[in-house]
Amino acid sequence: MMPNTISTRTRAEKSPLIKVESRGEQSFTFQIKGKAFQQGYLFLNPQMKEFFPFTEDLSSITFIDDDDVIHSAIYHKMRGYMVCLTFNEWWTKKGVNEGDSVSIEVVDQARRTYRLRLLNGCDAAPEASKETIDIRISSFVDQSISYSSHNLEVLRRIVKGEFSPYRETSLVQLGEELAAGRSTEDELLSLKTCFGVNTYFHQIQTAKMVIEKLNGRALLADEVGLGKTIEAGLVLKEYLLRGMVRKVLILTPASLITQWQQELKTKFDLSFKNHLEINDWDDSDLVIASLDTAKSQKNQTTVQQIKYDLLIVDEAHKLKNKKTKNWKFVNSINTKYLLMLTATPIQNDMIELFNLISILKPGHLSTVQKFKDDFLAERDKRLPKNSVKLRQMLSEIMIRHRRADTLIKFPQRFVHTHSIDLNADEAELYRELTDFIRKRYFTLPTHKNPRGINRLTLILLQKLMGSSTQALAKALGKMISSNFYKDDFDQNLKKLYDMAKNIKSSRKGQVLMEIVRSLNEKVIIFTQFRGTQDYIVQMLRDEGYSVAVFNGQMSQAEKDKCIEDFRNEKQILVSTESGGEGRNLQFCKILVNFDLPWNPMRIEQRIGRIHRLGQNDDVHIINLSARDTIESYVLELLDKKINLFRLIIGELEMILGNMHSKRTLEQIIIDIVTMSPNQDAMRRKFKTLGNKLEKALQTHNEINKAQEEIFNGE
Amino acid sequence: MENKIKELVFSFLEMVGMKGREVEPGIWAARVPESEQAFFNGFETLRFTYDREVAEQHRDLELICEGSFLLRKIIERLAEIPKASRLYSVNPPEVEPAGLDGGLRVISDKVYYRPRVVFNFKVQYECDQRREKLYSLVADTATGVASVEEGLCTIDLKQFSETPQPDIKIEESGVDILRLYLESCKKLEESLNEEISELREWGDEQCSENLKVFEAYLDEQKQELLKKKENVCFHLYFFQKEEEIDRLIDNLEEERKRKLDELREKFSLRVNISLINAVVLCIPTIGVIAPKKKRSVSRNIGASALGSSAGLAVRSAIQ
Repeated sequence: MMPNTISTRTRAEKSPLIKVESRGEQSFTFQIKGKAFQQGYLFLNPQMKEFFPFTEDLSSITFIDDDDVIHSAIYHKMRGYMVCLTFNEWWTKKGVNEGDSVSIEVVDQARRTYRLRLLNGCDAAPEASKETIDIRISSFVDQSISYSSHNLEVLRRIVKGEFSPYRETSLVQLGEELAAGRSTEDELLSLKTCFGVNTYFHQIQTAKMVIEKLNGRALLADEVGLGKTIEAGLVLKEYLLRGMVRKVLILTPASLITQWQQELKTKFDLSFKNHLEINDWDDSDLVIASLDTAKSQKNQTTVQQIKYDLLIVDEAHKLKNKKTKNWKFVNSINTKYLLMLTATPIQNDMIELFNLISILKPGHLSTVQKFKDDFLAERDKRLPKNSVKLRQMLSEIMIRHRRADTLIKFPQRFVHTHSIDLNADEAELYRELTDFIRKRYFTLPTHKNPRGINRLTLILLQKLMGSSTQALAKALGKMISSNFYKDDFDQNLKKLYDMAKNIKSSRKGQVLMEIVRSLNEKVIIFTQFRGTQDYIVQMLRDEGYSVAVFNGQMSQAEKDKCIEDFRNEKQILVSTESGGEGRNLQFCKILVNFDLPWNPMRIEQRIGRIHRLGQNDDVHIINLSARDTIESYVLELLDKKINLFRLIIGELEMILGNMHSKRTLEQIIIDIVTMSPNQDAMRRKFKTLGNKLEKALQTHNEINKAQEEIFNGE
Repeated sequence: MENKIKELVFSFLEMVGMKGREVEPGIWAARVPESEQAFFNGFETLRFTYDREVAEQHRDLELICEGSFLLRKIIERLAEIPKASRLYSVNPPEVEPAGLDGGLRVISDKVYYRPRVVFNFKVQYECDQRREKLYSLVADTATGVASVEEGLCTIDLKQFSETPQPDIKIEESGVDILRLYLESCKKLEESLNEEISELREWGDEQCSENLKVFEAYLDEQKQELLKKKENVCFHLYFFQKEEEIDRLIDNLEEERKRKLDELREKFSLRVNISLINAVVLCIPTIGVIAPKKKRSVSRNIGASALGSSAGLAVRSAIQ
């Protein structure tokens, strides 16, 4: 909106022109004339303007006088003047009179800083100092206040007459009011934007305690199954929403990276980048990585140089020894807030707890010697003395809840395993395929034979066979028709393909139908492969069952509809591994594992769709496995040796952690399968592995007992 | 709160050339122009809801509510746009009696618009924790800067119009606006003085307390190491052991310096003042601003001894 007329008073017209008396490279002097300077205006002639060569129309200039007092001015380039409120004060303090000479000297043009001197009748301009001037601000100047550069932009708009409609200007205001008018400290903002998260009182309490009382540095040591990840997620999201945190690093065992990423995305709408997905550690504000990768020689220095706002360390009991690289590395990371997660802060020795706390708050438990003197019982390194005092000190840095204290009902898992005898043709195909894989596993693609099948493909074929002959036939068909394998492998593949195609009925499929017929409730059937999924769905529909189908190829909207259909109408959901991630499927209590992944964490994740906090009823898990196959050995390991299907939610990771192996369980299984010359050798190796798992479970139980003594004993 | 959020979102969409329509109960959609697609993560159509339960059932929807990222993104974007408006009072002209310091002196019956500027500020404090407060000041060329009010000033649009009355000149100079801004900043800083002192005192206290605990811990460690050093002569490789202990003691000193820097950084007070927006209210006026009387010499010295009335000099009012 253009005004009627604008009359701009130009005071320069009323003031006598300022004449430059002398000038050097870095300074000029002038005589004060007229009232303008006294009133806070300094009009610049072209010679003076050369010392203020700034492109912006409005810029901030700092003058420092002889007493090191700072005077701030705004330079209006277009109009050729400076405005400064405190010129008048300087005038009065220094006893300046009209006609006196004043010099202005450049101190730091890039920082727009100048020295203001009264020459008091002295004709000569002071020599420009060649030394760097150490600016010492006098004590009463408040250096902690700064002004946003945005402010000048607003002023520029006014001065130039670039006005916006009031509706838009007030919109900016509304935004700021909304941002500032955030909930009081009693409410967590993060709760409003979480999905599929049933937060419990103890989790909310933990998040609030960390933020309000523990100042963002805490050891989260809830018992297994109480949702430490959720607690950490709540704290993280809260800090992000309140603007207190921007740069976050999560360090976790490599096997849990994907799980963390998925949980944070689906439940908190936070996208964390795996360090492999970024070029530089500094590239992304939200990064997740394994501790081993972060502390490696290649990455260590980079990570240590970054200033993080929040560091989360999962499975923090790996930092129990102060002499290890793990401990030293995490201790050296520069971070404002730190959360350490572990259900077992003490595994062998109370000193482990001391070492963890030393990273969080050094000195909180005094020195090692004093800690030992005050709190260690002589007879047992895991037992404390003065436990009341110890617990009181720990309450200032650690939060621990027991399942018993939360009054949450934890449902039980019941497992039913069906060991199936394969049909003769299925068994024959299984033997042929296993032999083929064993022979070919060590024949890698070579220069002469560049199109040999690689190891991953061979393992995949083995897994497909364990799932269904239909899935195997589909995969073999694709391999053959791709014309990729142009050597003697091709003939073998064709033979296996023909065998698979000729198998008309699957024994596993028959058993599944018997099970489904006996149930009158909703059922989820999991399988790893699309080929098997298609076969199961067809079989069920042919019998007249209402089936919902879920897999990773569906769009978000299709996935939503599928789950809703299953919830409201359909009896059976047939899903691949992606099924139900982050979704609430607790209305279903029966789960069928048509095939079994070799990675027990994946089995745990399947079960976790229905067996989780919030499930009110006990759940039933039905496993189908063919006798004398790899899957049957895997099932025996998991069921008999570590009671996987009867564990409390979350215990599996801890037990596997007690194996202290750099390889995952799946990798160990692959090695056993491929490196055993025959079936007997394979059985023996699985038995050895089973013993190791048993021992890991035993250790787990011992640790639990010790924790109970320390944290809850009399 | 939800109504304000809806108002903000719909106004913002309108501002960027989008129109939201309700396609299903609780579900809204808006076509995103090409120029805005980068802001909305590449989507051509924005589908959103204000209801968390609806968002949970439809994962492809963007949830907009208190704490949601899109809302925050919108607010941040609005904050980046420097906004200033001009409004014209529809009230009769103001006239002040002559002779007062400041105020207006009537010299003729000509009416003109004189500027009265509303400055809305956001003050962010950071000293370990972060806090924000909003303030508004009204600065008038005739009467100077009024008191600092907490909260932002909303203009009563019944008293003002975006269209000026015909034949009334606008007497405005950039110099006046800049002076008013600087005076407002000075007044705001004076009002914050007490709070800043309290926060700084708290920060210093926390820093010392934390440092005390840490130093006591380091000292104890040093004593233990020195004790070990005394007994080291019984060790087979005593010279190596001594070197190792000396190194550990040096490390303690480095640790101390690092911690001190860390605590200073953590508990140092930082205050940032940003100008959210400004509204120039054109007030019809008869008369010119009377020149201020000269202060007496003794009063001048009193003022200068303090540097300013609150003992603070005006520092970088604008970066």
